[in-house]
Formats: sequence, structure tokens, C-alpha cells
Amino acid sequence: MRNFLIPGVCISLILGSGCDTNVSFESDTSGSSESFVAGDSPFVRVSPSELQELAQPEFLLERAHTGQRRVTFYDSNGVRTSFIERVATDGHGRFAVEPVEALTPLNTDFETFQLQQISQQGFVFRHRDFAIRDLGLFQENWTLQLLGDNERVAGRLCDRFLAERPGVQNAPGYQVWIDGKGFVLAYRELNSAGELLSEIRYLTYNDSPSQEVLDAVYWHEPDIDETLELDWTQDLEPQLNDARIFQPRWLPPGYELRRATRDTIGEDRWLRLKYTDGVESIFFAVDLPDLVDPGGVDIDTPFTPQTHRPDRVMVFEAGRTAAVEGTLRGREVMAVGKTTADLLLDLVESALP
Amino acid sequence: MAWKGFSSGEGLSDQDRLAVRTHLTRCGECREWVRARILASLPRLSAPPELDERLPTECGLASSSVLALQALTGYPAPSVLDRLVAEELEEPALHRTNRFTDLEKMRAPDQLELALEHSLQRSALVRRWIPVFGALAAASLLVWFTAGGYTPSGNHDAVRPFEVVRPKTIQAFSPWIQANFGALAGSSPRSSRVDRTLQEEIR
Repeated sequence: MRNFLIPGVCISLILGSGCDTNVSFESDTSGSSESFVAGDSPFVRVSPSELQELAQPEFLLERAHTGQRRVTFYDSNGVRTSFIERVATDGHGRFAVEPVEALTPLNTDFETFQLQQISQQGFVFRHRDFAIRDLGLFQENWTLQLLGDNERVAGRLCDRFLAERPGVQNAPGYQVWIDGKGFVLAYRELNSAGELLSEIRYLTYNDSPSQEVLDAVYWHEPDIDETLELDWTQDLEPQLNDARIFQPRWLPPGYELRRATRDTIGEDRWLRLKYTDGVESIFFAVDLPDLVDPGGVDIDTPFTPQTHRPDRVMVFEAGRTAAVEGTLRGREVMAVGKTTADLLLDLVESALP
Repeated sequence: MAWKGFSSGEGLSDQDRLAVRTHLTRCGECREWVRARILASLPRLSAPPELDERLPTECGLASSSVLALQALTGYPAPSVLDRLVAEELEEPALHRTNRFTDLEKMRAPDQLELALEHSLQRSALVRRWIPVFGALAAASLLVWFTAGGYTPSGNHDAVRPFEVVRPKTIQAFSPWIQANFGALAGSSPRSSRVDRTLQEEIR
């Protein structure tokens, strides 16, 4: 329960601090930076090139804000799940995301749903929403097109962009509303046929929350006991005491490794790798052998029923998301990302020695 | 000519003889002239009769042939032959070609013609597809090396080196996968006794 925002006080404070910004906009569609005024504080409108540097998750962590947003997932029958969540950042790296109201019937009671969402908030905050996660790869793989301006979201004027991955079969597209500070206030995820897959939209937004509000927030705390950042540009095995590791040798087109960590969860140690194409992410994890007691089975040991559990994985796919989990060469392997099950299986298979 | 009468050495002083010898050591032309004059001045001798008798036996020739050879005298070659030889030596390739222009033109056998035609077609195909195959091979190698030696299938029915199980819900997976999958796909929790059993079995 430590991840809950303090109910009552916090809800009322956040709801009460909804954005009521009176913005006048000096029209400019040339893409160049130009001043316009939000209330009494002038700020600069971002050009697409500046946007690419600003609309990153780290950008969000560097500024304090609170808000409520409507989250909606669609399937072929229309709205599948919709709820309202509140979100807060303190500008110093802390954040919290928590559902506060269900807008559609759920498959479970709301409290259980809320608990589940809170347990996922780290992943939700960092990886669920549209963001430019690697500028170089975004520029290589994605195109950004200005669709319109003067569109208001949560009381703030926004430019609307279309981000697409040209030349990739079944690639998604994102319509993104971004305010003059480079803040993503809404986005729509579309499949290649133009059908709506998900939509996140700020209903209220406050970019100057009071200290009292921030003090009332239960910030997200990672479940990981220890994270060791690895240099993903270098060979990983020497950084892991020469432990033999699985590492994918094949990735879906446009994806590259951008983060590698050794995470300790209880007594288990995992190598976690994050791949991205600039926007979407794929995660791969494999358990590391016990470095203190290297009694585990070496991954190069030929398979026999006596030395290994059977090589078997589960695979699940829903919409544009797929997950793989199983045991290979005696190691637990997991992978999840916005890709197809077949491509994810290819990625996992390529990790085999 | 200061050297007239040199072969006999008549009328030459010792000093002149020394000068001639010195010149002959340096001048090849004069040396050859002197050698020819000396050979021409030698008396002609007839072969001994015994040699004439033994020659046919040693050479395996009939006596008539020997007589015919003996009858030959040193007739000079006609001047036209000298001219033709000189012309051919000047442009040997041209004259060799000219010698064969009057030969009767023979037709190649049909089988050879057919074989040649197929060979040419094959060559044309090879020439046309070599760049394509080369590019494909280069691309394949590039992908192969990029992928560290792994070729993806991207195929639902691909034969994997491990067993693949497809549960009906995400509940069969570990909490980490469930959480991440749920965050990405917006899935809501569902319980499945069958999948929980599967999870226990696999984990």
C-alpha cells in the first residue's frame, strides 16, 4: 500500500489544482520558436526539432506537475477498458501514477484493479505512453508531421503532430498533442489501418503544484533491491564477472540496445536489457547464475534431461503487445514488448548459444 | 682500296699488316669480307671415290637419288621468291591469313550449333543474374553478421529449438511479465485456473 497517494486530501488537492491557464497564442506554423503567453508567464513554442529533444520521459521527471488523465484502450468491439488516473512528478526524479475511477466495467473489483495498476506504475510511467526514448533512433526510424495547432488539451494550447514509422509493415502511428513546453498532454495510438488502439488525455494539468500537494504523494518505489547499471555499449560478460549470458543477437528492424542492468530482486539476479526503436520498447531478461556458488548449469552444456529442465516457453499476444517467458538451457528467460509474438520468439531464439 | 691484294699479303709493309690486323679486330664487315675472300681462294677438291661409294649405304638412299643429288648444281633462287619471302617476313600475319582465304568454308554440325546456342543462353542468364545473386548474397551475409549468425523466421509455424506453449491469458506468466504486459497493452486482470496450473508447470 506504500504506493498509494494519500486518498482524500491528495485527490481534492489535485482536482482542485486543475489547470486553468489562459493562453493567448501568436500563430506560427513555420516551426520556428516563437514566444507566446500563458497567463503572466511567457514561454516558448517548440519546433518539431526541439520537440524531439523535449518529449522524453526524463524531461517529465525534471519538472513538477500533477494532473488527471483519461486512459482508454480499444479493441475491435470498441472501448475495452477506460479509467481515470492521477499522475504526479516532483521535478527531482520521483513520480506516482494511480487509477482513481473506472469508466467501464472491469473484470474485477476496482480495488484489485487499482492495486494491480499501482504495482505496474513504474512501467506505466516509463514505458506505456508515447515518448521519444532515443532521439537518434527516433530520427532514423520515425517521421514527425505537424497536423494542426491551436488545439486545446486540459486548458493548454497544443500543436498536434503525427509520428509514424514509414516502411514498416503494421507499424503504428501516434497522434500527439504537445504544449509549448514540449509536454505531451494527449496522444492517440493507431494501427496501420488507422483504427484507434489507445488514447491517453490529460483532463487537468498543473505545472506548479504546491509543496503541500507534493508532500502528500506516495511516490513510486521500485521493487528492485539493487540495480547495477551496465555499460551497454561494451561487452556485458566482463561486467558480470565473466558470467555466461544469453543475449539476443537478432532484433526487429530499427531496434537497438539502449539499457542494460543487473537487477537484484530478493535472492535472484537478473540481466535486463532494454531495446528501443526510438519510441517503442522491447524488454529482455534472463536470470544470472549464482556468482557466489557457481553450481548452476553452464549454458553451453549440451542438453540432456539430467542436466536441464526441458526447453519450453510460453508466448502470449494481445493487440500489439507480446510476451514470452520460459526456461531455456536451464535459465529463466522473459521478454515483453510492443511487437508480434513471432518476432519476440525470434528474438528469444537468437539469444540461444 | 688500300686493302687490295690483302689475301695474299702482297705489297704490304709490316706496318700496314699490323694496321690491317688491328682494323680487322674492330670491323666485323671487313672481317667477313676477308674470310669470304680466303675461302674463295682455296682450291676445290673432289670427294674421295670411297666416300661416293659409302654414302648411299650410310644415308639409306638409292643410288639413283645419289646420282640426282650429284647432278644438282648451285642454281640461284628466282628473284620473285626473294621478293615473296621478304614481303612475308615483313607482314607475316597478313600473309598467313591470305593463304587461308581460299579454303572452302565448312558448315558446323547442327549439334555443335545447338550446344553453342544453349551455352550462350546460359551465359547471358548468368551474366544477367550474377549481380542480383551477388547483391542477395551480400545482403544475406550482412544480415547474418549483423544478427550474429542468427536468421529470424518471423513465422508463426517456425520450428523452434524449444517447445512453445500458447496459454489463453496472460495470467500464466510471472508477475513481472504480467505487470509489464498489462502496462503496455492495458489488459485487465483475469483469472484462469488452467493457466495458473501451466505457470506452475513451466516455472
